[in-house]
Amino acid sequence: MSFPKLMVPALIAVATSAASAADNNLQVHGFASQGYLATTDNNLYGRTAGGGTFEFNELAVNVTATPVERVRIGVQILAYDLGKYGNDKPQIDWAFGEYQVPTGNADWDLSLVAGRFKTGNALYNDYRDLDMTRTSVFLPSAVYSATLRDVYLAANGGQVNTTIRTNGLGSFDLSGYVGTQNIDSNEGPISDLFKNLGINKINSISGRRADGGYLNWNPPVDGLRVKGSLLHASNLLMEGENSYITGQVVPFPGSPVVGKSVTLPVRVNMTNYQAFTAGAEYQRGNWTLASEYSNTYYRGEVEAAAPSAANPFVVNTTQSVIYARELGWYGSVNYQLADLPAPFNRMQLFAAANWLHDEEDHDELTGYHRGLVAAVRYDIAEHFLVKVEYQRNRGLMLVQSHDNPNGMEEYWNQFALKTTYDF
Amino acid sequence: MKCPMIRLTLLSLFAVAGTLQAEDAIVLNPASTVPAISEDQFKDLFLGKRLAWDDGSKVVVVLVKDGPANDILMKRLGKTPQQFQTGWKKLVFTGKGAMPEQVDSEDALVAFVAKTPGAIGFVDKAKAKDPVKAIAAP
Repeated sequence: MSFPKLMVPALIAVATSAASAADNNLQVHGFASQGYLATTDNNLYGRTAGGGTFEFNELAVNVTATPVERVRIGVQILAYDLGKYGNDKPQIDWAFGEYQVPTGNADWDLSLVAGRFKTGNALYNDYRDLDMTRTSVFLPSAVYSATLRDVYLAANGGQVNTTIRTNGLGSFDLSGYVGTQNIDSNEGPISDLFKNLGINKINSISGRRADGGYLNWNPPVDGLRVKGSLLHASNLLMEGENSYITGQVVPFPGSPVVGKSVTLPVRVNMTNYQAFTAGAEYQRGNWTLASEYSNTYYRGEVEAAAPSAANPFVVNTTQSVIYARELGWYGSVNYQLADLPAPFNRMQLFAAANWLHDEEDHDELTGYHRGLVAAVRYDIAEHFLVKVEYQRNRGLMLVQSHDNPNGMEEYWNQFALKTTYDF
Repeated sequence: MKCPMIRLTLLSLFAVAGTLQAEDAIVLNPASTVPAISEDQFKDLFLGKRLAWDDGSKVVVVLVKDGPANDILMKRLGKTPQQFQTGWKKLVFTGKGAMPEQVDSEDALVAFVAKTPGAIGFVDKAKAKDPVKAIAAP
């Protein structure tokens, strides 16, 4: 029996017991979503062109408690499927203990967190899998790339959070953390990025140190918040293999056999990954406006064994450095039709413009992405929604070449449908 | 004559606003030692940004599912009910908070606050009677 089939009765069971558990400071919540994703011309996250895919869902359950004063503990198990990513494999989304440090000052909160926790990167990264918290199906693609979800999703380690309330400047939320990341070595999105570099097989991904933090400012203007966040990851080490066919592409040294497949090692050390994001959200009445800018830089050292071009019977180990800087921006508007009579008051409309490009290769098709998004959400009930989204895209920066062996198109469309239930 | 008229109109508006503010109240568990709550603290508490009282006890927010007190609370927070719910779900599903308790009536809210340490609710002032501790909404 698959994990989702096992999880559904389990979720119902815990939901039933949630009410009685609440008396003991224990809460149980969860959500389940199912979607459909289709694209024209280019495959995205697997096979989405020519019929689309229903491999698009999330399932989660969490338990939190306050066992003693000032201490909160909790865990959330999440399984997701996004085309070739996730495959409903259960994983710990977050699991941590938090201690509220007594400050003796009502305008200053301080807490310490240990475990696996959300990092608070950018305005919405923490809510990436929480379909019920937004109108759109996907977060804006220029800043929230699905292929980098493992990098931004959470960290394992320690975190310090503080809130300072002032008289004239509003309040400030500051957070900093040190830790590591969970990177799926097999079929995960990061593994996929390495494959897109031309590496045939990924054997392992290790290291992945990550530090970062954010400053969130709530100025004395109702509904406005301004946020800047930083992430620094280092020494993510990938070890893999490239395949060659002897005597066809190149002969293999010492082997007279023609047509034999051989593999040679390749190693990439991502020594530096830095991401800076700055943005603002303004919520007034039924309107929510948001805009964010991201600046991402990475540098990696590649060590690859390959047959020599001069003498194909000799294998050379070459070393090279790869690096890139990517710049992203989006602007979005959300409107809730709350003032209309039922059932229209349960609808929300969303539109966004995305712009992402590589600093150096922005003229190449694979060096930029532009997307215009329109989405509609309808809340069937307080905990049950359905939404539909259309995105018109230009550029191939978010498309993987190995998903599209027959070529890619510059202009393409993306269509998504999703429903979510939470409790 | 214009100035006195304008003054009179403004005074009337302030009087109406004062009356509206006087109609609702914050209720706390009777053991609470909190003397008053500022507007910023009010928003932080009801939006889940403050998890513990100064004495370390857990903040337990309790709401009436529907009704005029709930409508007034949303207006004071500057949120639609859906925005309010979404804010709490963001906290709950990232491990940063626990869902507010929900009850069917203001009488049930008062009863819940009376028996729950650290509880806070928002009701019509007429309902804010013993045994709960009532303080003016900011």
